[in-house]
Amino acid sequence: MRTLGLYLWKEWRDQRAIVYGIAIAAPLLLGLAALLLPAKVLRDPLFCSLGAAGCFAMVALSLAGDLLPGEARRETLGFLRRLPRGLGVAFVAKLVLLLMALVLLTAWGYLAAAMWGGPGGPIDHRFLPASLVVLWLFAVSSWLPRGALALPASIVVLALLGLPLWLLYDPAIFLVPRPQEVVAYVAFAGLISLPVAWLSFVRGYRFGRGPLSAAIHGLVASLVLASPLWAHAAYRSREWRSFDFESANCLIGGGVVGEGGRYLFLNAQMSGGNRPLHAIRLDLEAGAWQEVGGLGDFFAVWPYSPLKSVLLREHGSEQQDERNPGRIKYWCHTFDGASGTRLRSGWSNLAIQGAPHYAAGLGWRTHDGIRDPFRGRSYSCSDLDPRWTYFVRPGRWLAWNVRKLELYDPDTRERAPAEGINAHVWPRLVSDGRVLVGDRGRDEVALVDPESGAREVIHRPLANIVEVSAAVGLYGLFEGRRYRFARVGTRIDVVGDTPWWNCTTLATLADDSVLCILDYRRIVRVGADGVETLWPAQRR
Amino acid sequence: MSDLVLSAKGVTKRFGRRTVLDSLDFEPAPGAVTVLLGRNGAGKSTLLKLWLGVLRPDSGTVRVGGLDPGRHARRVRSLIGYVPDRPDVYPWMTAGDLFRFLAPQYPTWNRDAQARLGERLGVPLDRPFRSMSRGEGMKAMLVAALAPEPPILLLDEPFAGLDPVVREEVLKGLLSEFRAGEQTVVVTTHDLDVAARIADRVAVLSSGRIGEQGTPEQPQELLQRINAS
Repeated sequence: MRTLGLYLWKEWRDQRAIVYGIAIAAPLLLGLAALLLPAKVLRDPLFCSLGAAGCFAMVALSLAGDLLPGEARRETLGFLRRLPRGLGVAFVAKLVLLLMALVLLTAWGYLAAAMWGGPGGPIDHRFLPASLVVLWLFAVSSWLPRGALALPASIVVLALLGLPLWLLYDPAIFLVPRPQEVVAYVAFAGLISLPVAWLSFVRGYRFGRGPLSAAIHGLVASLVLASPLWAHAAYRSREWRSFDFESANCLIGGGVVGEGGRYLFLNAQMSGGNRPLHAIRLDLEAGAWQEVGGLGDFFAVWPYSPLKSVLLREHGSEQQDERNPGRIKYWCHTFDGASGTRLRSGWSNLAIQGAPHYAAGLGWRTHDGIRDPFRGRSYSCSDLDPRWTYFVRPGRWLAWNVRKLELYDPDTRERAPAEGINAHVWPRLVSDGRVLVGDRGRDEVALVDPESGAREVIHRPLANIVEVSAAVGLYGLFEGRRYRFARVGTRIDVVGDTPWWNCTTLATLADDSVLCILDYRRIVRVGADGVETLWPAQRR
Repeated sequence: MSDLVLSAKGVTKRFGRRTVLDSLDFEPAPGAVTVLLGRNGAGKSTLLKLWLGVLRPDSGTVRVGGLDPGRHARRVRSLIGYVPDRPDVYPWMTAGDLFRFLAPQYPTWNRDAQARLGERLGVPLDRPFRSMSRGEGMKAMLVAALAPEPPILLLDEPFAGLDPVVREEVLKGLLSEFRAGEQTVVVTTHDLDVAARIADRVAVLSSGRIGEQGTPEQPQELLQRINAS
C-alpha cells in the first residue's frame, strides 16, 4: 500500500495541473453559460447534469487518453520499467487517479452548475455507457503513440466488440437484450476493459516493447475476455430460435384447416417472452409436422371454414401496395389446402391488417367481406363501418363496438337498438339468431331475442359461456372449475367434459364438428359424439 | 557471492533486422569493475538492459545472481543499481522527490549513504530535474543508484557529455563508494582514460560479441586490435 501511495503521489504530481485546470475552468465556464442562457434553462435540473457531463468529458479527454501513452511520449517509461515493481503498480495508480478524478470532478461540475443554476436533479443514466467509453479509452490509449487518437480508436474497438451482439440479436423477431442484460453487458464490457488495459500496458510494454505490442496484447485479451459476452448472446439467440412442435412448451396460437380436414396450417411459438412465430403444416392422418416457413412467417387466419388454399405471409415483407393506395401488400406463399403442398409465391394484399370485421356470427367471413347465407349475398368490407364488428343472423345483423350493441340492416344501413342485452359483452349467437346472455343478478343463463327483447331461461345457475362455433351452436361452458363443451339451442346439452381453460376455434367442418385448440397446445375435434384429441397424437 | 554474478550465454538480440548481439558469451568478473568498450550501437546499453530485465534476449540466457531477469524482475531489479546515459526521470521531480520515491522500493536503501554522497557530489535536492544541468542530473541519478547499496551496479555511459570538472567529481564519487569484492560493476564508456582509472577488467564489444578482454593497462591496445580485425 505504501508503494501504491508513492505512485499515486507521483501521478498526482504528474497530472495535477490538468485536475486544477478543470476544477477552475468548470465554474468559470458554467458561470459564463449562466450569463448567456435564459433563466428557464438554468432552473432546469438538466443544467446540473450538463455541468457534470462537461467535467466528465474534460477528464475523459484530457486524462483518460493520455495517462498511459504520456509516459512513452515524455520518455519516462524507461524509468518506470526498471524499478523493482515494474509497470504494474504504476498502472494501478493511474487507474485510481483516473477514477477519482472522474468521480470528484464530475461531482464538482454538478455542484458548480447547481451553484449557478437551479436545483439539481438525478444524474442522467447515460453516464453508464459514457463510463464504458472512458474505460475503453483508457485501455486503448496505450495501443497508440498519441492519446488524441484514443477516443475514435476506443469507439472502433467497442463497435467491434459489439458487432457480434448486433448480429446475434434481431429486433425483427423480437430478440432484443432484456434491460437487465443491457446493464450486465455494459457492466461486463466496462469490467473487462480493466484487465485489457492492464495487459496492454503492463505486459505489452515489457521488455522494451511499444504500442504495437500493447495493441496485440490488448486485442487478444479483448477477444478472449469478450467471448463470454458473445457466448451468452449466441446462447440467447439459439434458445430464442429453437423450436420443437412436440415440446410441452410449444404454444399453438391459431391456424387454419385445409379443405378435407387432413392438413392443419398452424402458427406456433415456444413459450417464454415474445418468441417468434413458426409456421407448421400438421398432417393429422400421418401425425407428422413440418415447419414450412422462415422465422416469423405465419399463416393468415380466416376462421372458421376449411380453405381451398392457404396463405403463408412472409415475415418482414410488408410494403405499400402501389396498385391499391393505403393498403399493405405481403410476399405470400400459397399452399393447397387439401394436399398441403406449396403452390406458388407472390404478392398479396389479402391479409387482414387490423381488419374490423373479425366476427361474422352465423355468416362466413370472406377475403374482403362477409357472406350472409340468410340473404344469399356477400357484403364488401368497403361498405361496412370499420369501427364496428358485425354478427350475421337471420333478419337484421348485430353491430357491436364494445360500448353499443345495435341491430343493423346491411342493405339499408339502418340501425336500431338491440333490446335486453348487455352491450359490454361479446354477443354470442345461437342458430335461431337469439343471443345467449348470462345474468349474474338472477344467477341464470338465458336466450334473448334482440328484436323483441323476449327472454327464455335455459340454465341455472349462472355459467360463464364462451363461443366456440356460433354456426353450430357450440359453446364452452365454465362452471366453477369445470370447463365443458355444450351445444346451445333452446337448452344446453353438454357434449364433452374435458379439462381446459382456453379454447381457440380453428374451423367448423361439414359434419358440424368443430376443430379447436385447447390451452394453446391440444388440438381436438368436438362433434356430436364427444371430444377427440387429434394432437398430440395419443401414444399407442 | 552468488548475487554478484552476471552472465550472458549465447545471447542474441535483434532490433528489427539489425542483430545487435550475436551469440554473445560474457561473464564480468564478480566483485570487480568491468569496463565495456565499444563503438556507438555496438550493443553495450542493450547488454545492460538485458541484465536489468527491461529487454529480453531473442535467444540465449542472461542471469543476474543466478536469476532470470525476465521471470524474477522484481528481485533482480532490487539487486541492481542502474545509471542511464542521461537523466530520464520526470522533469518536475527534484532530487529529494526522486529519493523519497525510490527509497521505500529498495529494502536496502541507505539514507546516510544517500545524504553523504549527495553532499559530496553537491546534488541540489530542491531543484527539479528540468532546471538542473546535465552534470547535476547525472550526479542525482548516481546517488539514486548507489544509495540502495546494491551488489551490482550497471552504469551506462555515465560520463558522456559531462565537462571534465563534473566528470572528475562523478568519478571520484563513484570510486569512493565502490566496495571492492562486494560489488560487481559494469560501466560502458568510450572514454579510455576513465576505463584505465576505474577498471579491473576491460572488455570490448564488437560485431555483437565480446571481441577482446584484458587488463586496464591494455584498453588502447585492445581497441586497436579490434579495429584491425
